[in-house]
Amino acid sequence: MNQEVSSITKLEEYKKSREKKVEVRDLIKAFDDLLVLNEVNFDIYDGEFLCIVGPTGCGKTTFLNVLAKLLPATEGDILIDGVSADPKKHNIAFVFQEPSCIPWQTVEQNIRFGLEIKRLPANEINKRTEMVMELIGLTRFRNYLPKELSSSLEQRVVIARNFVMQPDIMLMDEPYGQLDVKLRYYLEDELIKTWQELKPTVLFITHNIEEAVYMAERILILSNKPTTIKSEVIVDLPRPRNFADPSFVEVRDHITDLIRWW
Amino acid sequence: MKEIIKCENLCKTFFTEDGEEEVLRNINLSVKENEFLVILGPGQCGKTILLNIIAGLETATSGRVLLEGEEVKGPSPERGMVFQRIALMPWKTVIDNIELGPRLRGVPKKTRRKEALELINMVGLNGFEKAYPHELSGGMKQRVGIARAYASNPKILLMDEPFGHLDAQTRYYMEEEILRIWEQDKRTVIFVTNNIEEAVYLGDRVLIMSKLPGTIKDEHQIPMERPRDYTDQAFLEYRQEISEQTELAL
Repeated sequence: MNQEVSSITKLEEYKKSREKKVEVRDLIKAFDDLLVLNEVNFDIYDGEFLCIVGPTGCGKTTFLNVLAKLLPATEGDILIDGVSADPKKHNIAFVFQEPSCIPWQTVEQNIRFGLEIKRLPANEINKRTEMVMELIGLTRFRNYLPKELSSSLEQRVVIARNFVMQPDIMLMDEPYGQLDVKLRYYLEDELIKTWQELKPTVLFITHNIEEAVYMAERILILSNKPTTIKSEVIVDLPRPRNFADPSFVEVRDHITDLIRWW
Repeated sequence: MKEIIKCENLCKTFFTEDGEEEVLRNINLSVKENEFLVILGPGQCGKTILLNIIAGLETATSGRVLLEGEEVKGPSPERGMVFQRIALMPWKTVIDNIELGPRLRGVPKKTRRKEALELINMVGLNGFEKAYPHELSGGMKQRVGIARAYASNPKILLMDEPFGHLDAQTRYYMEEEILRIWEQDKRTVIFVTNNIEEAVYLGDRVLIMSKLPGTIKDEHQIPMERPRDYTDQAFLEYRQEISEQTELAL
């Protein structure tokens, strides 16, 4: 009981100390008779690293696609800075599971692409591109084509391309799903470092509970379909985190108990 | 215990227009009867090629593979393979996919049907006998892949990252399942993966491969009892120790 009270206080304090960036209100998504999202309500705070985990097949991808406005919501609304989310007005960045570089453009051209579309001044484009390439360690690959890169390197180009836009929100759909564990931790460290440097608002979806606990400031736990938010956990472990640390294991076990179906 | 498989000084080099690429260098290993051996390596370290050579699907540049003392010269039903990309026949039902090998070997219809039904029961696919692969989830497809490998009644099962394409939770589920199946009908298993957690969960013994050219760098016995607990302190210590020995494949 005491533990429960303290986690509620922790949650309240966390929310009080932050500014709302995105508000998701009564979001419903149905495909004909199939109700996938059932009145989902939550906020994302400015500069926050939020992870979402849920059981397999709970509608995570639909959820993300609706948030990104790639799919229309059946009911409800998503507000960014108090106005209804609009891809024309807001910068919504998306990192998919599979790397999605433009195949005929070099690494540098891929990273510059979005900024050029937005018609930023040339010196601003140069400055931001150089800075992000340096931060993610892509400078020496700048003239490579995507097909010349390993898939992990290509995924890093996609991530750089998203960071460079300084997006209102960055949506990531399990970008490191198929990579080996050691490499995954390396890239997660790199992502956290880049996030700490640039502080965009990140929403990271994953099946992997350990990955969520490793990265998140806060974790939302989804229920089975029709999806609602089942629980919410603040992860205030110091960084860099260690998966073998007993306090880490405690959070991981707690979340596993909440979603375990296997 | 009896030694089933032995690899002696296996080397593999590919000769291409761009030059030579050495993939495996002096691989020596032996596997005992009913042992669950895991070969762990980073991406592109030659571990799939090694498994393919043991299966007889690929030839070594030098060295040889012995199955119970006899040199392997090509694929055979004695070595059942479970692939990462499963490769079921899309126009065949679950049961017909499982029966395909026995059918081609001329096993009478009644016998092979009976055995296939037993295997479907063992892998937990009851009720899906007549389903087609596209109607199944990723985890279920891999169950068919496992049943198909068992259908040839192999001495040894070779598994090439069978859960590599599954999401983290389905993977945990299938890891439990593969052990349940294996405990029921023990075989010698060589299981290839890039996932350290999976290696510690499954293996009696874990061999660690280096980056190209692939060599065997290290070996760990995992004497923990099954079922193992992913967040047990001893489990995490094995994981950390092995993690320190594996290389980063950027």
